[in-house]
Amino acid sequence: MLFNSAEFLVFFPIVFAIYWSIRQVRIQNVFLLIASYVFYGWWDPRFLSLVVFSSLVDYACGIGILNTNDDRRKRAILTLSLITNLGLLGLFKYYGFFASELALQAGRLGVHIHPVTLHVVLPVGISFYTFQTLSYTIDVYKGNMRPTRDLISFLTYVAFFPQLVAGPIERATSLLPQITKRRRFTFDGAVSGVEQVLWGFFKKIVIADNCAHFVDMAFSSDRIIEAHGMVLIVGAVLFAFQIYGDFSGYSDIAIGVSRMLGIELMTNFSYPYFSRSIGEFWRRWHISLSTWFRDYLYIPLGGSRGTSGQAIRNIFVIFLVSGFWHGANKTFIAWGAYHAFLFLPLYLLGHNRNDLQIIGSDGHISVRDMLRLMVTFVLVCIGWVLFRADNLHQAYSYLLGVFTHYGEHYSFDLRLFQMRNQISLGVLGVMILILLAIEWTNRRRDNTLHFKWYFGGHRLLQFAILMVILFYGEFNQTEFIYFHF
Amino acid sequence: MDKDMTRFLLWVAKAALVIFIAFVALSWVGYRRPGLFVGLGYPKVWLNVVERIRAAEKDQVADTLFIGDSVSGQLMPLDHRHVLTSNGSVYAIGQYLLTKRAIAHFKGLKVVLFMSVPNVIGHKFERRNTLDNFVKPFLSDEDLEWADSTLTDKLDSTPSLYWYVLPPMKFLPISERNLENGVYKRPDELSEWAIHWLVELKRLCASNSVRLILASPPVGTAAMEKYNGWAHIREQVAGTELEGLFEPYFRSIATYPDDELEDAVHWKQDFVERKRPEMIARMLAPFK
Repeated sequence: MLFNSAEFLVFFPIVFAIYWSIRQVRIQNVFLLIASYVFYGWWDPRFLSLVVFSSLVDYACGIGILNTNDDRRKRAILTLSLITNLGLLGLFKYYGFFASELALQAGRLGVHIHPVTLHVVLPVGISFYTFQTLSYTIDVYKGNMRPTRDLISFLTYVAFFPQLVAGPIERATSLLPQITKRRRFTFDGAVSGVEQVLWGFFKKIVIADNCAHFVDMAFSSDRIIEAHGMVLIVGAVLFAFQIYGDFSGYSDIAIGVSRMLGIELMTNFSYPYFSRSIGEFWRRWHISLSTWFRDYLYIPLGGSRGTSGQAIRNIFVIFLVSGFWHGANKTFIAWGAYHAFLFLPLYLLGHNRNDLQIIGSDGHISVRDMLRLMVTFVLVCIGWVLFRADNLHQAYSYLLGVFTHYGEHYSFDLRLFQMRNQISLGVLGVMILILLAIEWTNRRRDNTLHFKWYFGGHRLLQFAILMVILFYGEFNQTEFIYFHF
Repeated sequence: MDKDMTRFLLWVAKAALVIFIAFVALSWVGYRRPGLFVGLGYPKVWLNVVERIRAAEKDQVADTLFIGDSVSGQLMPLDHRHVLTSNGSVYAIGQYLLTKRAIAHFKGLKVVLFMSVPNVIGHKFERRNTLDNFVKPFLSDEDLEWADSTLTDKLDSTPSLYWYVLPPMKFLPISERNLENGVYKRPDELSEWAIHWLVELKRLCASNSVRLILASPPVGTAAMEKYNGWAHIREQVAGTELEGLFEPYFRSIATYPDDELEDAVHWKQDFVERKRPEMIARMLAPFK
């Protein structure tokens, strides 16, 4: 089920009403689990079995680790969890990629292999819930938390519907205790949740989905050949806002919906386009994934300890794996490598831990900061071309076009992007400016729209945003991009 | 129920009421003054069709009304006065309704030039974008007064469509609703629905002493060959009340290379810019 669907509009009020009318936490959790499975199964009930399987394996692994003092046995149980979860990911997400790559490379050596392809659909959210269950077992193994014996709570932790399919990837240390204990409804919490959901919908339905039309045109191979460099630049910038609106919008809706149910999820995006360096960008973009890789991959590999060579290796590993996590395509690996190369100089100069506070948090914004912010945004946009392109060749053509497609041979007409039934590029530009203005003024808050102005001015703004969503929103129920990752 | 929940539900109810009132009010304004919304970048195509309806309702002096599909709109773009080209999914019935309004409001109207390519002119009601292009813009209390059974039968088959008489319903973010209950018509065929409303349009013009010209914007060479010069439509209209209308229509069809087409029927815009006078001249040659 999509958040931006009529089904969810009916589903959530029913869930909300029944959920809060149940007093006993255990029954409340049973209900939440059923609701979560309905939410997920709405897309394809067959893949529910994978969610249940992954949950049961890690639940059993947690108990298994608790019940033994033998380190070798504990390690074997952890290995079982790793093989199960990464095996599921490998099978459903990466098998086809590796099989066809193997055949391709063998073909270059003159050996012809016909790879066995599975033709399986990628189960929605598999990258998210497998990482979530995996983190539980690793935390139990490392002694960071006590495993739970409450099966219902554990299943609910994995399947909790607001964040099941596209995160934030929650740690058991944070989410599980909230599920096992009784939740309390508060007026302020619920209103804050509504505000965050509203902002999420604005980002998804108004910004991301309207950008998508233009971006799809810009990245079509025919268009790349004939488009003027400026048109390609516009396409790349719009994709930056599309992916931000889409993914951070999803996170906002998930966090808001969850808060209305009395459960706090972690912040997943913290105004990443206001970053002054790539290091800061990665502290603000998809935080739940970045911190996951930091805690479960980078630090176990040695992090920045050891020799410079080892540290550099670790940086590349984390960026490449992070890129590959997004999908079985060389473009994602290239995107990860690109960011590793951008991050490396910061690390070598010891600047990777600078800019820990949001820009202007001390009340002062320098010209240098603004220039750094713009340069960072440009670098991120170049990376997005790699991320969005269908293949490396297309990415190369696009980037080449950005730098060389100037002159009258190339079409500069931005109306080329315009299709019937869509908002114009100008109106979309105004919407993006509204997004940036509101986020800029509220960049010190986790929940962008949660503030008060005199005489109820904040409610007027929220009301205006709702009207903009209704009148300018794209309501064709487009999927969230990160569903595919 | 605890105090916070009661307070929250009241807050939601109050907010919903304010939103409802504002939405209804804005919808009425938008429906009566579509230019305001379109000017602010309202993206939905149905309100552009309402703009044509409002233009046809404006008292003015004009001897010719130009109506037609989106290909004709490429040749003669909307001028908000008497060039009211729209798109194929308003159907012949939509063109009839525009003409009916124009006849009532245009002083000195002598000619109605209806331009539509042959693949589009015979469309049925069941097209996917019927909701946006016909139901939302045209369905109003006023239009239901004259509706005959050909329309009401179709509406009765999906009774929820009657809700779209209300302007706020038109503005709800629902579009592209699938109304394809029937089989999609052949591209070289006039549906019964189209035939009925073309006859009505002809009679409406005749009874008001207005000349109705039916012409076709250019088509691609391949389509002309594929459908054998639309021989099937020729057969359909032969010996009917529409024969006289269609005889020059077929002569008005000019062809250009398929390379210049952007999709199945629309021309690349830069090609139209270069060839517009020639295209119009060839289309209107049989009527001189």
